[in-house]
Amino acid sequence: MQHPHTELSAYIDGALAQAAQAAVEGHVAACAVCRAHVAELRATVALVHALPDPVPSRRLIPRLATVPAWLAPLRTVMTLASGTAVFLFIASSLVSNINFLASGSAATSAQEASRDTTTNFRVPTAAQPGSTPARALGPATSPAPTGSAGAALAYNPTASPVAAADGAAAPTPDDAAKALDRSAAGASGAPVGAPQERGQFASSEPQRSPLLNPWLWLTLAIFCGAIAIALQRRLRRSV
Amino acid sequence: MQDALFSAWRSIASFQGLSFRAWLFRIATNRALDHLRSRKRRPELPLEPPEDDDVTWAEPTAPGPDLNQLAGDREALALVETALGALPAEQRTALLLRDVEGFPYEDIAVITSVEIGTVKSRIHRGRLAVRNALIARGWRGPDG
Repeated sequence: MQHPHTELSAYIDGALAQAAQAAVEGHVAACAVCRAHVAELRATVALVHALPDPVPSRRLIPRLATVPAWLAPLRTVMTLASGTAVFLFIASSLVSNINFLASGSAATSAQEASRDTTTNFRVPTAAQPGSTPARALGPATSPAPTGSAGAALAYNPTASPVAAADGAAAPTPDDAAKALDRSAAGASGAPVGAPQERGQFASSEPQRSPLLNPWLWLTLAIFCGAIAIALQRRLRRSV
Repeated sequence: MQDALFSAWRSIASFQGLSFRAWLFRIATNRALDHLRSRKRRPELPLEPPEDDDVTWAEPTAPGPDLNQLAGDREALALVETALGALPAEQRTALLLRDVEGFPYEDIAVITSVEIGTVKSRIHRGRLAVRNALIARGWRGPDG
């Protein structure tokens, strides 16, 4: 019998048919070479069997076990949202500052323009209680300038309506300062005109309040950023 | 892994005859082999080498440590692991299913979806490759 080399593995596993098993057994008993090979194969099997069980790396376990699949997309979304909120914070603070300056000078110029068209020039006495009936008629029937506008003009006699209109289109620091000066003068010089002045500004108030509030966006940016950082740390810890 | 379990869950209806463990191994093995095949784009050893029966039995090159010194030795186990890693995936699969998991040849044939003769051949070739790798590093076998 030739050396049954290819049968030796099946032989040591007892996987041969009964007759073949007996034949190989007989040959191995008589053949030193095949006996040595059988011994080597058995030793090899023992070594393979002695291999330590592969331990899944720590990289694999927690990621499969605990990290939900939506964590990474959520982190990305939060990062983008935070960036957008920062942008909106900057934009809204710029817009609200410009609005504030523009509305201050525009309101004043509008009041001055209406005063010119009606030629109903009022002296600072308009701030006196005598002007109360005109205010009581309401905004629809009172194209006349307010007491505060009159007072402002009285305190700033050099400011012309044209200059104020220019200031509204392209406010320079000088015009802005004048506008602030006027409104401050109106507020302090004519306390009774203050309610009506607030009523005139009321048209620009709703635009500024919810979405143009920079603090809303800043808070949102910090909030989203904090969540994004927390998610990132969570993801990194599990990887 | 979860891929294999998901496949197992989907095809739970096909579970019949075979032991549950072998059935699960069959699915996991197929998924793993599919994964290996799809990952390896470069040409490699043919999955099933030509069947030349006279597989070479390498002779010891120089006297070296015998099995008593090697067994339990980390170096030997590392050698075995390296040799296993160099095997074609199908041979390695059959060898591990037999020598580590202890499946009978019939189950391995079902798990790997091949004939039992192919299982026999793969296991033998795998063992021979590991043995030759050990011999090449000076191992002289159990008898010295």
